[in-house]
Amino acid sequence: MEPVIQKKTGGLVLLLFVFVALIIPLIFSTLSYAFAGDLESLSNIFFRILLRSLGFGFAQAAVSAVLACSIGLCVGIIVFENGSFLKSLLGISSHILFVLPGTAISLLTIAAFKNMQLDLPPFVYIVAAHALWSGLFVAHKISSRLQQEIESGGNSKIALLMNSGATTKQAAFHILKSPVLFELRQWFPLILSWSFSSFSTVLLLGRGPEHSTPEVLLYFTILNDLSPARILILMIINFLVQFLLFRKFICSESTPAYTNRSLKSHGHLKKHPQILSRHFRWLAWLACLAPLYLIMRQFLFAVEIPSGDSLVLIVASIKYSLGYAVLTSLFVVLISLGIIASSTQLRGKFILLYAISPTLLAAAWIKIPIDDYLWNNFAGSLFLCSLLLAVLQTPLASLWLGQEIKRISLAPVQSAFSLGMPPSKAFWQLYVPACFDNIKKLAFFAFVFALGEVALASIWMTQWPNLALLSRKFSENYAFSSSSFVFCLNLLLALAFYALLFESSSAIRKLRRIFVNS
Amino acid sequence: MIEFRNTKIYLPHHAEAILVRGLIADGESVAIRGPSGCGKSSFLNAIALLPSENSGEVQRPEYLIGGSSSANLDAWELSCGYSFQDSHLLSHLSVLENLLFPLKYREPFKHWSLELKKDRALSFLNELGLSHLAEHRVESLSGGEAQRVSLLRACIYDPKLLLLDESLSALDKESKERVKKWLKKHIIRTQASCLFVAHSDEDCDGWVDRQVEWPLQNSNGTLHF
Repeated sequence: MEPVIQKKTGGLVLLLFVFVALIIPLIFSTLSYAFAGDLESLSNIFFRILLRSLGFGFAQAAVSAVLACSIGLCVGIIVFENGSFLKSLLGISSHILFVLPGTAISLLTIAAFKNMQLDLPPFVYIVAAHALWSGLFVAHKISSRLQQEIESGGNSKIALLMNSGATTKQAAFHILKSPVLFELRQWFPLILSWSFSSFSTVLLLGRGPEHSTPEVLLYFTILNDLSPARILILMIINFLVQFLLFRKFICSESTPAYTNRSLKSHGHLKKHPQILSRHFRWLAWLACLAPLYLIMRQFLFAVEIPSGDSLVLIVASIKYSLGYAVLTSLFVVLISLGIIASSTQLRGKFILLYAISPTLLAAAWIKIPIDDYLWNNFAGSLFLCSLLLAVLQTPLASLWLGQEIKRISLAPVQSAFSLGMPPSKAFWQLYVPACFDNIKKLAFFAFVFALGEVALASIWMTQWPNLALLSRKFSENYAFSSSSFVFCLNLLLALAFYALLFESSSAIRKLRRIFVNS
Repeated sequence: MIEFRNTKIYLPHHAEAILVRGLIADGESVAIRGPSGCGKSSFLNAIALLPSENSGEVQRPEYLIGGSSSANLDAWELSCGYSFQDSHLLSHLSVLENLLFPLKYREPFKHWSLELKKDRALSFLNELGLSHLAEHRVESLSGGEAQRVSLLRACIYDPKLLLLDESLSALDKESKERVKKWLKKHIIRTQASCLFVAHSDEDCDGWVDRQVEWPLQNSNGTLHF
């Protein structure tokens, strides 16, 4: 059931945050770059570099996506077979690391491979970094899906097939094959797109423009080259490629109804069917979890508490990081709810705006004339950066939250309408409290995403670096121990926010009650 | 008064619309009888202009209520009290808060002070002997108690139209008689038009003015009031 709400609210949110913050700067900057275009800078060398970066970007994205899906499949099945503890551990770690990609994956990979003295080409580092952490995320999705299948009647179907003479493995394979393939088909294009647009990983592990994607090339051009024509071409190429990849994502948008609620209502099953053979299971453990263990071990050896100036920088950076993340989280929730409060038909195509990357938006906003006083003021730039990052996330966030809202039972809404509650109030007082858990998840993702965000911060917040940016700077200066320490701090902040949001439920419940009753 | 002039009502999972004719006078109660699953609850939902689980677009039925057309109204503007089959009490509120809920939105009660609203809600609860449940959570109520609270909530703002979907089915004999007497008195006092969906004669006896049968397949799908 679609929430029936006033269109005015959502229209205003769309106008303010999406058109003013996203569309208008893009159009304005495109025109500015086009008029200031220095066509002689578009030499053959530039196009050769562009083609090379496109080729590199696609190659690393394709290999990363294939590897991530393979790792995800193996780890997902292992976790599914081995119970709920591993599953929750994987859930928390994959979600945190997945949305903290830049700093986390590049730092850990550097910590591991540098300490092991492996001199491999950047392509390998980048692919390893992408595949490992996207793989953990896919693993979490696959194990959850398998669990869901089993709890929604899959076990009985397997038992039925076994009565007809099939072995456990044959029966489980037959029943669970389609949902697993569905998940893989769902996630492959997304990982391809995310790996293609990956910024900080490629920037850090690519070691310069030689091994860069168009996204990183755009960053180098903004920073060093400043040729308007080159920036324009790179912006268009970046947007077009992402747009085309996202069309692929939209085609497979129809995710089947699946919520944690449905899992909880069935309770945990005591026994899972064993899908992998014993030897293969051991092999999968070794292939997937051994590299993870090695990286973590090397990483922990690398961590050292810095002293002197570095420590002062870090303490200041915690403040900026928290401000950036809390503001972004708040903006994402408010803007997404505002967008959902508008015409729901808009959301299908709305996802295409997600094709705009942080680097692209940063390049667009460079052309916007901003009052110097406001810009040089810390609060002003932090506010704008948080707002821009939130606007970038809202297409995906509002689509996901909108789907969750559609699953809410109609009974209380029918009841409230019949008692005279207008739809605008029903949205805020019935729909929003009913999907409070999903809103918390959204706030958490936005918070952690902002903690790990480097692209916008590198261009707009250089004077006030967040922890992710500081960690990258330390890595670039080969201060790996300080960099690892900063990453640990980032991870701790993410975990602290997780605890605050999900473990202090009684306090939040009280607040929610006050809100609903007022 | 509610008047249907060949009103077409579209029900989910029904290929053909139901044609409704006739009127229910002020202070009159009419029971609709019919087999389970024939669409009586969906019919009440349609009359109340409520959205349905199965269809995003609601085909709004057009009828006259108190002289004005339903075509210009939305569900939350219609002066209609609806007691649902499954109670549909708001689970995050207490019994008293559920009764206060419509008073926040309906004229003239929304202008009343909170104290006056509470007095009204408590007096309604008292009339059916439920005042001891005022502060209880909805989850702690039995089926019969929830049904009576739902009925009180539908009646508390004196709507012009009262829709009752098997509102007596979960009650014991003694409670049923008490509720019937109270309903009869309330409908006459407020001059509401009441449409009551029922399965048994026992639920209709003693308070319903008329009974109509749900249209059979061979009656061209017409419901006469």
